[in-house]
Formats: sequence, C-alpha cells, structure tokens
Amino acid sequence: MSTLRRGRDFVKQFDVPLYFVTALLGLFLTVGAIFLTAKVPSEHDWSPGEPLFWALVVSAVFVPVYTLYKSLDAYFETQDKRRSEVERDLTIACQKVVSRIVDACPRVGVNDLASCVWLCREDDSFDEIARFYLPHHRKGSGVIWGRGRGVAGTAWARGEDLDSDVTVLVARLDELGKAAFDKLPPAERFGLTASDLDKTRDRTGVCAIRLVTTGAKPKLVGMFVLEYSGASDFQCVSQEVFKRGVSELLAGCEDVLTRAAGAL
Amino acid sequence: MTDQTALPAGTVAREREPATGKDVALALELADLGASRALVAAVGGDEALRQLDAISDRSDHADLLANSR
Repeated sequence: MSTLRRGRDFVKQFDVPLYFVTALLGLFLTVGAIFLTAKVPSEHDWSPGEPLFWALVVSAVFVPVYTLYKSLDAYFETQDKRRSEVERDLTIACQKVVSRIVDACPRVGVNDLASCVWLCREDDSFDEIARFYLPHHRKGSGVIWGRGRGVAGTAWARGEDLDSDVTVLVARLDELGKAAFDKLPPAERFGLTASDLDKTRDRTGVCAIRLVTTGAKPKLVGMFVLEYSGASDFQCVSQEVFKRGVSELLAGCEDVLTRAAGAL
Repeated sequence: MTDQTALPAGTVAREREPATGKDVALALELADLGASRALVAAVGGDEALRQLDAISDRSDHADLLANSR
C-alpha cells in the first residue's frame, strides 16, 4: 500500500470530527469577517495577538487547506474506483480464458491453470492487477518477477510473446545441480536462479502474452500470464491461448487497459 | 532513462477481426459475470451492446409487468 493511500486511510478515520470542525471554523470565518469589519465587540479584540485574531487566522488557513485536501481525496477516490472496475473486468477475462482452455483441452483441469494480468512498471517491475485461479488461495512462490526474470519477464525484455514448457528447464536444473545451473547464461534460464526455479516447481508450463495499448502509437502496458501446473498436455494449452476465442478476450483486456491508462 | 514499455519499431496493436456471433455471445457471458460495458463492447462490438440493452429493456418490462399485477 502506498504512503499516500495510508495517509488518506488515516485521515478518513477522523472524517466526521473534521467535517464538524471545518463547518464551525467556516462559520466563524464568515461571522468573524463581518464582526471585524463592524468592529464588534471592539477594534482592539480583533487586533494582532488577540485570541479572536488568532482564531480568525487559524480558520482562514484550515478551511481552504481542508477543502483542497477533500477535493484531492475525491479525485483519488474516483481513480481508485476506476482501477477497481478495471480489476474486475480483467479478472472476469482471466476467468473466461481459463474456462475456454479447459473446454478446448479435455485433459486439462481447471485447478491446473492460473491466469493473471501483470502491469509493466517503468522501474522494470510487474504489478499484478488481476488473477484467476482455483483453489483461490494458492500459495505464492515468493519469487519477485520483473523485466528479464521468468518467462513473462523474458517476454517483456525480448519484446515477444513466449510460451515455455518449464519441465525442460527443471530437468536441466536436476541434471546440472544448483551451482552449475546458476552459471548458465541468464538467457538460457529465463533469468532465474536455481533457487527461484526450485520455488516454482509446481508450474509445468507458462505462456506470456504482451498486452499493448490500442491506438496510433501502441505501447506495452502489461502481460497476460498463464501458468500451467498439470502433468501433461501443456501443448494444448499453449496452442489454445493464441486462438481466436482467447485472443478476443485479450484484445478486450487491451481495450480496457488503454481506456484506464491514467488510473493505473 | 529509456522507456521500457516502448515497443520495437513497426509493432502494431493486436489485429482485430469484426465481431462474430460467437464473440457477441462471449461478450454477453462477460456481461452476465458483471463485466463493464467497455469490456462487453471491446469483445462483442456494438452488436453486443445492442443485445445487452435489448435484454435489459425486456427485463425492465418484465419487472414492470410483475409489479403491476
């Protein structure tokens, strides 16, 4: 969670008293300005250093600052709402992709597939915005993926869609041993260390498809990642993921991501 | 800092074919799951939106009839 978000959540707890205080100070500011002009109760009571003067100064600062804060908060609230709509759309698309592949590949079970949409960040990291997998609380690998790391990271770095039968790489790790595996050129091991690969042994295949903004100047916005953990038939999965039924869904994801660019 | 999201020169956005009846059906399934109109339109085109509106009108009409009885 970002610092900005934490700060907004913290202030939100005091929303009701802050509204009340702001309303009172706003009222005081209006009435005080009238009384100051009319010199009521006396000119001396409003002179610098007097309590009424300081109360007026505090009101004159607090009310506009709080109003500005609330305007910004409303803007961020709208952005959050847009992001959650995008997340919902992408999660539904992820779910539908899994359903399409399971329909098309009779030997692939729904528990064997995990689909996610990862945004490509400027600092070379991924930000998972949507996912669909059963069982829902699948244990994470603990590996931090990024540009040049893993199948999706390699697809990003190379600027192409990739699918890989990971069992081949795992077999190579078992054959060479950890130390020798880590000495292989990064391109031959998807930038993964032996330890990373060990943590992801349950995956037998991964497909990574680039999601590109629509419009005149297409730009990479994210990756659609499909992880397979079934014992066999990854070939069927990797073929289906590039077929029309799935590509139309991915095109839909690209459209949604393009429209929401500012909110992500 | 170089733009890491820039695509190789000449890259174009995913090629889209006109929406077929299957795409419209898929888009309506997405709508049923709670997808936004933007996603429905992106997958099934204008025809999916027209169908969605027609379904919604019919459902409103059915609700009106049920409530008036």
